[in-house]
Amino acid sequence: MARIWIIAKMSLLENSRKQVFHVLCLLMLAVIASSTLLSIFTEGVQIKILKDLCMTCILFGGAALAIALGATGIPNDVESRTIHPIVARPVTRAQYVVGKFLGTLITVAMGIGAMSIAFGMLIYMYQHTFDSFLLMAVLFTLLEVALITAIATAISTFATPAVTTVITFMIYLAGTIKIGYIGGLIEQSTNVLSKGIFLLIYHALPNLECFNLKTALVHHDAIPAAYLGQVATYGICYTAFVLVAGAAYFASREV
Amino acid sequence: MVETNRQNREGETVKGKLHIIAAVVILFAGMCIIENSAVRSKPVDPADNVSSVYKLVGEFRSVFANLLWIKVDCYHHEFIQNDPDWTHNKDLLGLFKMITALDPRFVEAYSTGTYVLMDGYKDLPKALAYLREGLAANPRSYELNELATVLYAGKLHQPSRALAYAKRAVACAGDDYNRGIAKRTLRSVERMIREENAAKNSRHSR
Repeated sequence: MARIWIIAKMSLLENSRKQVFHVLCLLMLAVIASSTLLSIFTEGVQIKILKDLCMTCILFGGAALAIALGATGIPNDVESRTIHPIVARPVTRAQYVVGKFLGTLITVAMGIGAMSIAFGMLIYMYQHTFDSFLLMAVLFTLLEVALITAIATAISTFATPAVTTVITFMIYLAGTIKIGYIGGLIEQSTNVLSKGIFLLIYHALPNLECFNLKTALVHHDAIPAAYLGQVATYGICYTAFVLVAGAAYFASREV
Repeated sequence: MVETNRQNREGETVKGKLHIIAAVVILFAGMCIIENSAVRSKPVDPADNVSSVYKLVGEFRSVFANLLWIKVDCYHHEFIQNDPDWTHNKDLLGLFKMITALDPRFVEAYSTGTYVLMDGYKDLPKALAYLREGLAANPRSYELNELATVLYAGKLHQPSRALAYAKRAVACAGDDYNRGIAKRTLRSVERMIREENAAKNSRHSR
């Protein structure tokens, strides 16, 4: 664990110095701050739009950070050969991959934290109360971003940063429409073979929509604790699955 | 000896690979089971409709709906500079329908669209159908229940059908101001029902 933490700290330092991290954080903070310009609308719609826009900003900003940082971590180390002194030490490849993932995740969590504080302050300014469900919604957004970070890290073990970015972004988009679109394809298909292929794609793709608590936050809907528990377990399981697969491939690869 | 060691090492490598494959398969199976269970236990949302637009835009649907609403607001202000009766702005109806297809919880779009159909187009059946769609997705909305009361009692002259909506509007009103309006509407509906019954009784007695 100590070795993983050392690699994570190195990765955190490296990522927090990258320009893309600062630019994306500032851009998303600017969008969140500019949401106040929506004050021309009636109050009910204004708060709805504010919450919708800010939560999407946090999610999209977090996902963009996760893809940008996760896609470059390992390939940059391999390219610049800084990986050689690391793997020459008593550190397994799996520990290296998990350390890189954790470092990237902590960096992204810092960005999400800053955006969430700005969002919480805006909500307090308008509602004069702190919405406790906001914390829950942000935590589940972080879990979704952790999953995207794991996918980007796993793909980066065998692909270039550009290819990793494109594939992860496509998986992210497909994951957001999975239930509605691919679920519908499974229901409609009559052929056993095509149904089997769709089922495999359905389960292989991450179900990102279940982490979305934005509607519940906007409309104050009650969400059962059991459902939240299942979603959290699913997120952790998927992240572990992707990381194990990525680490297994990286362990057998020449660097 | 060397050959035995090499064979042992190869055996361990194969064993390690098998362990990893087993771990991946177990995690994948566990993940599928948990996912199916989470999808089944997802709280039922009356707004989960079957429109293809709703399905295709995924998590970003409400943001697109909000951006369209901002556009609607711009067009609305341009329109009322020439004609103060905004219900005559019939061109906005398509946008309202797109907004509610993207975000069925957008109560304001449903209520404004219903007003355009009701007062602009003077098409009460279509207004009622659109309002019912909104009420199906937002059964606890004060605005839509109040509007249904006005439509049934004021436009269709069916106060007995408006009564249930008027009572629900009182129950769903979020603040004292709206509750006061809803209570006054309920009293009016009850008075209309009494007058209607009295008229029926007088007809029967004659």
